[in-house]
Amino acid sequence: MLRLIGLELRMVLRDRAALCLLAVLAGALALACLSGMALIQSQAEGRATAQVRQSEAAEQFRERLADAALPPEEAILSPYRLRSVLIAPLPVLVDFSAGRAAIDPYATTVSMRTSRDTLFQRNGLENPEMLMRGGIDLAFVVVVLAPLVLIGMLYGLFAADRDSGVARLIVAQAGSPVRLIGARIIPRLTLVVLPIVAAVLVQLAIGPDIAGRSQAAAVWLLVAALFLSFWAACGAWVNSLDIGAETAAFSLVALWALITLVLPAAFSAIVQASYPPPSRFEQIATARAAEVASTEVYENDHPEIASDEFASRLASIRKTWEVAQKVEAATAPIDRRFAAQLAAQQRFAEALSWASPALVAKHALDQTAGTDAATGQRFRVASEAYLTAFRRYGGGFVARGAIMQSADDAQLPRFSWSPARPLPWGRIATLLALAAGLLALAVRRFARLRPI
Amino acid sequence: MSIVTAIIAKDLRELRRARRVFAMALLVLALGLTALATSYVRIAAYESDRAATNVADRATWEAQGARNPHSAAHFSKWAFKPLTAQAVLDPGIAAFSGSAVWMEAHNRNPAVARPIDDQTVILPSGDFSVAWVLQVLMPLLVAVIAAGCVARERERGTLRLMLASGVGELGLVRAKLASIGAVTLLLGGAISAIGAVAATGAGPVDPAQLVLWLIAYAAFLAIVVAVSVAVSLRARSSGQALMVLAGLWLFAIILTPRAAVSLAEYAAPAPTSEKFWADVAAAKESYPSPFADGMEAFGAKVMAQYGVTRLEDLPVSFGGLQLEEDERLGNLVYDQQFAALFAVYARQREWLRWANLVSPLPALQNISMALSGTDMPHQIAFQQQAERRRRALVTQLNTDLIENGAGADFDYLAGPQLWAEVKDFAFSPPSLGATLAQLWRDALILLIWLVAATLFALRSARHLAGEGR
Repeated sequence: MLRLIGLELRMVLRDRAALCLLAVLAGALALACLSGMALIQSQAEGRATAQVRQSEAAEQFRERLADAALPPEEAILSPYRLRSVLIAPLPVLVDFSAGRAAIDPYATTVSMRTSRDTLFQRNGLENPEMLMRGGIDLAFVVVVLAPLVLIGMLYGLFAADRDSGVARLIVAQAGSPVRLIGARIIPRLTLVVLPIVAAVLVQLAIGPDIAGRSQAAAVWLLVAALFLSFWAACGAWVNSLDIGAETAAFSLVALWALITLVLPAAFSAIVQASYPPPSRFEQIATARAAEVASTEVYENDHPEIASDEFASRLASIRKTWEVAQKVEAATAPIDRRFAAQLAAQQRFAEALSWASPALVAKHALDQTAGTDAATGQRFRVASEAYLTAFRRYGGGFVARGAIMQSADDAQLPRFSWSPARPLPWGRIATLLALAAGLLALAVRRFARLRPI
Repeated sequence: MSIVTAIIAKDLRELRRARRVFAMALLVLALGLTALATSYVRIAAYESDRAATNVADRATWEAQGARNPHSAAHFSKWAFKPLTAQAVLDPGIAAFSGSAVWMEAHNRNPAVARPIDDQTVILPSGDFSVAWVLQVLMPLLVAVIAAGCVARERERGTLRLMLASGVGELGLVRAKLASIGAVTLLLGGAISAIGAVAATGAGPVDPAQLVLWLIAYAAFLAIVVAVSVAVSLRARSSGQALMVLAGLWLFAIILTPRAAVSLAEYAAPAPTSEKFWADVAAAKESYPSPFADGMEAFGAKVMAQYGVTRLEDLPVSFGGLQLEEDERLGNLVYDQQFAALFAVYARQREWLRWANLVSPLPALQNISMALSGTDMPHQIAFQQQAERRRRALVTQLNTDLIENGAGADFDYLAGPQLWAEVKDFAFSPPSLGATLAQLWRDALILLIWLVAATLFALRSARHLAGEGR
């Protein structure tokens, strides 16, 4: 068997078309590595900037609280001078699977004036044109490109022998061609998987040292290998049918287009039609109407420049706090409806995704990398919960009319969130079952071939 | 009937009978129509939602009661971006760009409410739309149809018969181009025509824009047809032709545009949101605020201007003047920072253009999005116009405070008359002339591709020389 594999390997390496495909794969992997490096660097820099801002804000606030010379009419405004920067940890494999990393916010600043709908208002400066066109990452290479490269090397696995009449000779001389098929698949699959393994090792070597990164990379590679095995099994199964090389090529390309392009597009349309998110515009309008309804009496947005007196400044921030609470109460139902609709959309999309192995693999890769939709959503939820706690803390001083002291700083809620990293075992099992099932079907069909 | 016509008729008959081609064509057609229907519903819902929000928000604005103009400037108004009817055909960057800008005092806010934020499914290859079907799926379908158009004749031995009939190499190529072109025209034309009708039904459409859009797609699909026929002419077998065409499709349609994005982001990296806003904050802190360290100098300047020696003697609101001066200084910062950001976007687009060397798709995408009003220049125009409206609105409110708030400053209250005078935001999209002016390079690139692909197909006829003997 090993000699057969070696022979096949030499044949593949002499095939110019196969070498061309492998060169395209290698080029795409190199670009994916570069792209991943740029993304992880940008994400790390953004977090570092946020971290600096957080440290500065905390330091300034500590100094303010420790300033014994601060007059009461200024000190009473302290809750409205308080800032807290929320930062999500760097996704463990963001340079492997960009997922939603370029779209979802990973840091934001919270103050007493922040509300749920303005929590992430200052994100989204990425070039929409780039987001729309999408870049290349290792996950894209694994899910979209590598299967086609594999198809290009596997479509004539046995069907080409059928076309040339050699198939009869093989069956007549060697009986079942199962060993031959195995010997043909193994080097081709290895030649596609190996460059991906190399790219993963390069990323691990040059990337940052994040806890759990190597283990996540191992799982990520397992998903990639299983997905490509699924395509190898598809190639074997299609070749086990009584068809020629052209029909095999057509069938495999059509299957690839169906799984990779058509089904995800159709699912996207179904999800959008079944669970359209409630209107963001309506959310904005409702919040504004509630704000006006809560401020029938004149509200001053600049208590510090409108008055120098303690009592009027306290009254002003109490009014602001009261308005904020009323706006929150008024918008809470629409926010809840929004969250529920999005959660339903996500559940439905997730359920549909099981019907496309490409989506199963993509979700598994993104989930392992920590760049999936669910992780982004969990950060939003954690940030909203923190915002509530933060405002309750600051609002308590406003309601009591108390001046914040140095000792109160210790009571300030701290944002500490780290994403749960559930491994995609269900999806891994699905890919394994699909690959094994298709391979078993192919082996059965090949084993039944009899000399004519 | 000439031999060329007979070959075309034979090819069309064969394609009609090819069940797998027929099934694929039906699938592409169904997907095109689904994309059209979903886009139509989405845009109709968006526009009715936008109109309702504008009306509701106008009512809220006018009913805000007596308050200080600056308090109203903080509450301010929102600018909501309209979607063009042509977005039914190509939503472009609409899903990835913000559609609402809060035009508040002191701050130039980014456009928010990106549909992608509320969308859980991100497709592995572009957003689902009619444009996507025509740009991505149609070329694959054309490749499948065309792969065997000459190569299969060669395999069967009918190619020799055809050439022996006196059709000539060029005549055969023309016949094959015509038959594959006819099927492509039928399918692509059906999707485009239904799309054009749907766009017309979705709202006012500039017919010139629509015609140019259709011409661009016709040119793109003609390139695909020419290249596909050329590959079939040169391939040894139809299987080989199919694999080469699938490879070319993967390279030119899927890989190259994305590779260009990765390169563009690497070569011209955009600042992170964190860095951008940190720079804005630092720049704003660097100027002498008329409310803090610059107050004394500003007060002296204002007193000199009005010929008084005490701020209390000013015939206007000093607070209002401070606010307006603060806006002026802040606007300088925003002009500088946003100009730098948009310059990075422009550099990224220039990098993207290099991809046209190996694929005509980026050029087509630029033309398609621009003519649909869903490209980056339209988005930037929206953000710039919203910013101009913000400044006009804030200045209008500050002016009222300056003129009527002398002595009262932040205790001065304006009423419904002022709120009624404040205009709503209305977006004026760039004119067709302005749009075309920035598209000439993309149009030229598409034209060069078309000429090159046609020449490639005709030159490939040489590979038939000797086959008729």
